[in-house]
Amino acid sequence: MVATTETINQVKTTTDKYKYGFSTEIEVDKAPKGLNEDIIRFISKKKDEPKWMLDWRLEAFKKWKRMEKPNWAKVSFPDIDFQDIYYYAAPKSKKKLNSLDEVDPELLKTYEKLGIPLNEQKMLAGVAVDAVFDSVSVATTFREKLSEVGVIFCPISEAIKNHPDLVKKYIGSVVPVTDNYYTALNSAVFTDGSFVYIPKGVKCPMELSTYFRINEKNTGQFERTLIVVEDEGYVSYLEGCTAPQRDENQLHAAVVELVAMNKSQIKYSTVQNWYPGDEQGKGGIYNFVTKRGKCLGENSKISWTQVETGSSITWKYPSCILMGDNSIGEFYSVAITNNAQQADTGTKMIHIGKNTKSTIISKGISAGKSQNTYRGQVQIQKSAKNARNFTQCDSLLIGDTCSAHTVPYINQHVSNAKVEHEATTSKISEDQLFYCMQRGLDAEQATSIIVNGFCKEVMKELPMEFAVEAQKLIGISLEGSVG
Amino acid sequence: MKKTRNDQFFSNLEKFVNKVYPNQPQRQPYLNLKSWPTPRDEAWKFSRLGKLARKNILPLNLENQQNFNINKLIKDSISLVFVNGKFEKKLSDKLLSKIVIEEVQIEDFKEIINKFDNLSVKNHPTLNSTLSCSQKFFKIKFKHDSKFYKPIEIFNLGGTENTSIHPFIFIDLGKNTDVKVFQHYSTYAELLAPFEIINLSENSNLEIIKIYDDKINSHNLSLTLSVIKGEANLRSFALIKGGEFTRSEMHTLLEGENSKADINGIYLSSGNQHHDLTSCVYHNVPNCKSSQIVKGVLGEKSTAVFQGKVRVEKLAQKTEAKQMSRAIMLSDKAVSNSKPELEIYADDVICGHGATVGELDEDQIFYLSSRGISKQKAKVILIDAFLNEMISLSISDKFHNIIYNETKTKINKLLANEHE
Repeated sequence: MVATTETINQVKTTTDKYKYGFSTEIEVDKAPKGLNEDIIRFISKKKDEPKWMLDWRLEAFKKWKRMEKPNWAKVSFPDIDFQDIYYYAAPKSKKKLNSLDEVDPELLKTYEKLGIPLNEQKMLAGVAVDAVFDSVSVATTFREKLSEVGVIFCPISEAIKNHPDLVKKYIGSVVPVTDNYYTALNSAVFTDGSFVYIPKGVKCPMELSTYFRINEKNTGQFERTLIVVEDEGYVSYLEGCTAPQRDENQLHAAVVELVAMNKSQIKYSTVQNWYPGDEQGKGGIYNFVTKRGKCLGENSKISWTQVETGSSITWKYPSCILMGDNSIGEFYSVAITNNAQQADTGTKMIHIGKNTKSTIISKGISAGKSQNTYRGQVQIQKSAKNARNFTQCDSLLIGDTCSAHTVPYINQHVSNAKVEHEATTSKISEDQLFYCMQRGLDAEQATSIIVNGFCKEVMKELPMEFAVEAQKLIGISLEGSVG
Repeated sequence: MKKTRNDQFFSNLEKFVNKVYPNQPQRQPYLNLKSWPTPRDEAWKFSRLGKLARKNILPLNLENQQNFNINKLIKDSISLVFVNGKFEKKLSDKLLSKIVIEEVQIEDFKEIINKFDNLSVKNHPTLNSTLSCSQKFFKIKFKHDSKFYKPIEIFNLGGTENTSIHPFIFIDLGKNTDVKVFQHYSTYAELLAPFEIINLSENSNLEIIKIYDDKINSHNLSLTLSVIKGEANLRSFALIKGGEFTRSEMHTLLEGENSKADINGIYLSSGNQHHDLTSCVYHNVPNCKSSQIVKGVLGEKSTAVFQGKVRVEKLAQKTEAKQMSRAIMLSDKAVSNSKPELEIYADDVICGHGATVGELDEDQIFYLSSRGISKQKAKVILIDAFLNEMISLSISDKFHNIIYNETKTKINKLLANEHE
């Protein structure tokens, strides 16, 4: 199938408003709406899964039915009808794909518009892209190069078949099925995601990247990512999202689990740019994500970096459980909300091992009528002698119709640990704006520059590929918020 | 989640109210509470009332027969004594003409309570129990345009085992008035539920120092609602050192422009004590300032909580609000929880908060030790400095030494126990 002129025209008309607001016409194979045991069996069968996986899903579904939706976050949205969602949608695969040439050209075109260097740019960028289109991974590149050093990077559905022992051992070990309402839901119906395994002593030779993309109307996307790094391994993982413009709200409830063994290191970077809805808050993605890393081994390190600009509602707390002695957890976040967006995001640092350290830097920027909340917890348990934490969460307000909230929890159970927390809330100063405008920038450019400066501590943590994109995103996200 | 467990105390309360005040329907709305807040209630997450809930407590309705020794902190102060929540004229000093103590009815202050449209206030056990069963509601009125040089000392006394007492005091300052108040909580009650309302008229000044020093097995769930008008200034300081479970909860509403509120405090916790300082400041109008600064020292198996919240409404531009919580932990068995929260709807504001928790600085102890000061003494010096800074920041110089001495005995006890 080739791109029709209609599609191209549609893209042209929508790009001004939302660059990635288009949808691709691809035949989609999907399960009927609604959620019951049969749908779960259907998904499991489609994925050709072993029985233990199906049992695990059914068990999760049973637990999910008994759970209640969390309502403590400072976000409000109409009740979600979980029976009105498609839980499975996959581009129709006709046969197994051997090379990129066999991938639907329309799909490739979509990625090009998104700026994913999947085809000829892949060498230049040096990035292995595991592109997830709706719910199924269609192309995985660089796999051969990775397998040379023993790195496994594949869709999780494949991992379930090919590496069942690893998946069985670690899935649900960091984020238990019943951790919250959405993790239980995800455990029951997850359709795909990535699996990364770095063996002992291996430094992953390239940055691994996945581009998620919601395409089919009304499809909740339930990703499941599992990254395991053995002793002295290292991996940097990039995740980025864009989604087409839709009128109905779409649900995204992903689970990401990271496991770091002795002296290993995981760097997980996200640029989240789902469709935020229009100025009135109509449409847009509900992003209810549970991300958690476990520093299981000594001297291990997990670092989360996120730039959140999209989604109508974000509910996300990438966390670290610092179990191994001397382990380190880091969280760098920029969350930008504009128009009617609502974000309730932050982190949890659970210190269990001795001499564990954590750093939290969070920058929240609200504009328009949006609401931006930082919610974080630092818990120092009895065993965490000599633990250290430093938290800084700053908020910037643009305009007087938005709001910014900070809700930190600090629980300390041991005396010789040190926890520091700082936070400020302010607006962009008139002086700064005046200074920039005096030098010929318009109000929007000036705001973008000042905001980028405000976020620089976080931006510098991003890998190169992302840093450029993220800077642009900040500008786009704040369009129309000043002047 | 929706399941409510009927609690003995609240059914006792209901029986008591229906028996003692059969013809007072205005008390009925406050009998709707059926159980103590649970950890599921966000406001009570860290302060658990499970132990209190298991106790069989009855509201006290006794005429006072006892004679109390009133130990005034300040020689020339005017004492007002409340025994079992009732004003005792006999035990109190003679009042000045510009101070009036009168009995009021719920209708007289209901409007003020309604200003706090907040569930954690409306469902507060102290508000509900005290308004339903307090024997008398007292208002202390300080007439307008007067400056009181002598501080007022309010004593809350009385109580016996297995009883609860419910003092209600409404402190009302007229325009251009300047008052200093010391408030003592030293009761024997199992549960003390003091409910206070503070109203500051335009351009008035109130410095209020609350000293929580109840007997070792009592629970004190103090709740104070303050409304501050334009150009008025509230300076509040809480020193928590007694009781088994003491929570000082203050909600402060800045209603007039250019008003100011400082809600500061110190807690000194030892043994199995649980101390909680909870404070919410609501900025509803522009150009106001507030600070919530809390410091604490925790020893042995004690637990302490600081919950601070600043809410800046859309209209309240040019707000300056700060929040700071610092805790020093002397023991590994102690637990410190803090939750400094900001909720901001206006853009032209300067708000900041900070929190630190840690032990005494080893380097500082070493510095002092290297100059021949014993380790024990070094700790005393460092804690003294830590608290002194706070005291001089929060209260007028005149009372500095008095409050410092109040902390001193407790600190010595804390350190002595740590070294055993």
